Amino acid sequence: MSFVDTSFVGFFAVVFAVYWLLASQRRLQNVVLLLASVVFYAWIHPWMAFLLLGSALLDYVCALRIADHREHGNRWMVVSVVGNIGTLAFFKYNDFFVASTADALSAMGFAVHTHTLGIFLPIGLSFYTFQTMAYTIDVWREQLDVRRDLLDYLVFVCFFPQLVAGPVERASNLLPQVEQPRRFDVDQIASGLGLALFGAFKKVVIADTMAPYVNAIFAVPEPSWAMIWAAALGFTIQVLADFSGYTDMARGCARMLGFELMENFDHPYLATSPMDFWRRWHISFSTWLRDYVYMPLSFAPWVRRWLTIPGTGYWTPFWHTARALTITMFLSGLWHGSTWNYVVWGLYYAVIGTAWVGIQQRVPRKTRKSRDWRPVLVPTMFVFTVMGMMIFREPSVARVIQHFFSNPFAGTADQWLIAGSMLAICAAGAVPMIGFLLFDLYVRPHVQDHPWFLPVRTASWTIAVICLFVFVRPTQEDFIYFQF
Amino acid sequence: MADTLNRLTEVFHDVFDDDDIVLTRQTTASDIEAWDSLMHVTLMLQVEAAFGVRFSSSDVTGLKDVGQLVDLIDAKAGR
Repeated sequence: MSFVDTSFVGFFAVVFAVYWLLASQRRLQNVVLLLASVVFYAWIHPWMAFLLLGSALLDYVCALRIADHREHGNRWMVVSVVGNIGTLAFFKYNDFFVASTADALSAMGFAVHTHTLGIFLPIGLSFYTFQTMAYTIDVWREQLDVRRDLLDYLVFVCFFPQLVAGPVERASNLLPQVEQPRRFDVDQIASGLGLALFGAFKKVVIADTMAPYVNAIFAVPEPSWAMIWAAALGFTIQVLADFSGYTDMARGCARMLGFELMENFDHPYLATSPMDFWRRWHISFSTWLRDYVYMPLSFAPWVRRWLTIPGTGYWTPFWHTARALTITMFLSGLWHGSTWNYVVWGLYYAVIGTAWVGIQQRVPRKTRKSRDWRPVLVPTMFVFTVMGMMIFREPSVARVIQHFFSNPFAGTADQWLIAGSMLAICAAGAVPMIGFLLFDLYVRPHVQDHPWFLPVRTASWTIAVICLFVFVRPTQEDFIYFQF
Repeated sequence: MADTLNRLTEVFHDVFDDDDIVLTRQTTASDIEAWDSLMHVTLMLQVEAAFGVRFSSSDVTGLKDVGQLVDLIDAKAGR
């Protein structure tokens, strides 16, 4: 069951009604949420609900052990990390490692007969293992009190609006909300409904309308340079509409149930640097990497031993950034998918991120502060983002290299026509996305209390619903981030 | 302690490349525009080098404001 299925609308309506009928009884509400979450998940993979609950219970037990026996804390922390990463590795990377090793061996001239297991990736696994692992680490770091109430804890892990593709919630944000009574607030519910509705609009009307054209061009065996880069631009728009649309639906549904989930996007295509992009894109995941990978790596004794400034034992900030960014972005790439292009994509951000730090250090402060550089930096960074999306979208690394280095002016008349049509589709997709952006930045802050707000909002909701009916297709595309 | 704050201010001026920063014990990351997570790591490494101390990752993730950082430095340096 996906957020844009009609079955989800029915499911949510029932959960919503039952949940608010029990408004004064928080425990019963949590029982409803847990049952709904398990049904939601089992709807997709009946047996995998056990994996979800198993993963949740592993961290429940580990965190309790850590809190009760601090002297063995490290041991239980390792159990949690190995258990979670091991589960992820088995389901997500098993076939990848087998196939890659076989490729490497056959490249060296060994005859290899492999059996990949053909294991499918349970949806949301990458998201909920990260969430529960972070819970255990927070307890281990003594930054969070351990939770003994199993029901509340399970609702935090399995909460269906954010279960399958994030936001990767922190226990410190979501758990207290699970433990507090929720208040029925019409304004909050209306705001959640609007958020979910426009999230669906972004997904169905923009992302899914662009997807078939982008997919068709990426499936062409030998596309011209103009065609493939027009498609990469299309994918850049599509993936933002898809993923931020999904996040808006998740946050909107949660808000209708009285929960506030964290922001996942902050206008990423307005970024002025690679670092800035990661501050604005998939924020719940990038801050997760910051807190649980980048920070520990930066201060871990075994990492600090490498390449310190001679004689001091300290790193220069530049080399420090290069090293920590490379490891973090490599892991980020690997998290996204089990094909090499994702690894290359992660390393690409490490390279441009490090280059950016180097450039910044060399440009005198006077020049940097002499004027507002955003009109130059934003479009430049956008070009780098589109190049990144090319690597992200194209599974074959060999083809990525080909796309970067083929002749930009080559192409038959038909190929130019296709490239032109793709650009037109990009423009059609970009217009509503830019409209949302301008609305967020310049209109929303001023209209909230205006007497016209209510009628205009109702009209815009009506238009969105009509568009959803017009654009919805039987062969709906899955959310791009469901595969991760 | 005042001495630590003064020396820390110099480190901030270097790291953020801005001599106008005035630190108090109440200053937080949201008061300094460029102080984000990546800069935080750079900053902490520079603080380590300037004061000759070593931090662990839990030291640097738990800090709420400059006051806590000053206390941490003083505790590590045995002042």
